[in-house]
Amino acid sequence: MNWQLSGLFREAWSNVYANAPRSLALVAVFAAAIGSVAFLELQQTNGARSFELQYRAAGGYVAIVSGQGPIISMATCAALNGRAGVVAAGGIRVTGTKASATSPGTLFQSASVTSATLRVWDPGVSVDIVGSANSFVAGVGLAKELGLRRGGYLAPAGEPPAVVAAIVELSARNGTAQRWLFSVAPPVGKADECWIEFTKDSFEPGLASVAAAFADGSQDPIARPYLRRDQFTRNPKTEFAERPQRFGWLAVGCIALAIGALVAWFRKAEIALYLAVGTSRVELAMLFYLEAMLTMAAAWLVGMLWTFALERVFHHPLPRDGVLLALRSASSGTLLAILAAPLASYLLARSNVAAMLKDR
Amino acid sequence: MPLSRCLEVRDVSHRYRHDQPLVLNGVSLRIEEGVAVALMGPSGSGKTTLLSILGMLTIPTAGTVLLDGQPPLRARGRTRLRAELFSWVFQGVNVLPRRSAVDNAALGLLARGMRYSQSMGTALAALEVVGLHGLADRRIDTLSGGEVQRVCIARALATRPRYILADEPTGQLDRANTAVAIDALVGRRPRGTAVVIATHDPFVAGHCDVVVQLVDGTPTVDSRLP
Repeated sequence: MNWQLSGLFREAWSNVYANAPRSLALVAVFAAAIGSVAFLELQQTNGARSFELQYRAAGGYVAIVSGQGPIISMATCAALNGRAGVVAAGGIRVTGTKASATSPGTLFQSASVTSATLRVWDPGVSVDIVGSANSFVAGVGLAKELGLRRGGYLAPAGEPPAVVAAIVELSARNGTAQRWLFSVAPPVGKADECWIEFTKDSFEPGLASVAAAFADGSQDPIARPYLRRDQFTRNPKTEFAERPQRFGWLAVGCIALAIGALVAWFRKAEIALYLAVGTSRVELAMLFYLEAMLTMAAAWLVGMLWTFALERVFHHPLPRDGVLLALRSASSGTLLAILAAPLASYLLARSNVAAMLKDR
Repeated sequence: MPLSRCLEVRDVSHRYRHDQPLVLNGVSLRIEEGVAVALMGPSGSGKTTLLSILGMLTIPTAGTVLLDGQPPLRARGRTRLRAELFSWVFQGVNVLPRRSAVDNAALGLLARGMRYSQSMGTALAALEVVGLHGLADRRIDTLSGGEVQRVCIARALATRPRYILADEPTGQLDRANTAVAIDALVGRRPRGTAVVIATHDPFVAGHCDVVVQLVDGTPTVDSRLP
């Protein structure tokens, strides 16, 4: 080794600085390539996150346990609320069809539920809705039809009037109950169904095991997912595994290889000069790698800042997992580019020096 | 008896491809320490090829290169020797075009492992020898052809090599610049440095101690000037 390492580093910096137009063009190209990979990864994460929220809101992690008739223990169902991985669980027992005293022609279904049942159906509902004999909870559809409002009174035919304690929006998770009237009751007796919302990770194991909690030896209830498996055709896990930009880092490397070859062609005489003054091929390779590191580091920085700024401009969040994924993919591409960009120059340096010197 | 310091080619022949004729045909030449040699001959006579072989940039098809009487070296050793013993002034201009004159003049010193600050001082001194001290910080692509060639000569002189190999160093210069360049290259070279100049120009050859005429790859005249 003839060159001092500090001398090589200074030479690399001088070459990058002195050839500012070329260096800036390279930084721009690779910032665009690296930034695009990072941008696509962030988009993927945001898309998946958006889908996840949509899927969760639609009841993707809700399971229903039921049997032949009202055999589900309300108490057992309510006890699930304390389990790890359970967001909320509550039972429902259908109590028949009713009509309003003021509108006897309008029939509606009534049911007895726990406050946690309403929480499963409408995540926006406070779980502290306390039922009493003198209050009801109405679905939005029924409230509109009968002109009900919160705090008002409703008198089902043949029953004393009671306060409408809450009006709940159930279209997302139990659309058919929009026209129902509910009595919120303590978890005692038997229910027709137990609705359970799990956390994402607990859903599959929960679905597989929850029915056993209700088995009493006579009839075995079954658990089913609220959403049919084919109701959502997207699968975020598959989409993530098959996303095209997972090969983005390789694409950045290929671009680096191609541009590196182009640059090497124009630097033939320069390469020959370094060799002729006594620079070894190893030293020359180190010089090229140092130049590539300087250029690619700048490109990485510009590319990532550009990506994050663009995401913010479009008001997309920068979730930690998305940022990490973008950083990982972009950095992999950058490292590969550092390795690939000087390759052509290094290979060219193995040619005949005298011939290259003539080739100006 | 100790061997004298010399660079020698013995019975060297060279062709670039199997299907091409010999560029050099049985050339033997000995470059003694401190001598100035002009290689003259028409285009295609093998001057550049002989310089490349002398400077260990090209391995001859046949024959041997001897340094101080020693046999040829392997590739790794040749790179090191090239850095330690030789400096080049190329046909036309081989420079780093966007770098300063002093950066270009210091290139050979850095390749020999000299520290940056020390190499800048030495390169400045070499630029002074060729009359370019005032242009040290100017970018090469802002200098005239004659000035650039003098920067190349400064680069060659700066390393105080045993051998300076110059391929048509004045080919693109006018007479005035040729005189300045040859004065720097031959007249101001360090003591003990041999210079081999491939040239068409009798004016340049007139400044050398020995003139070797090459015709069709064969040295026909080897004359020592009075």
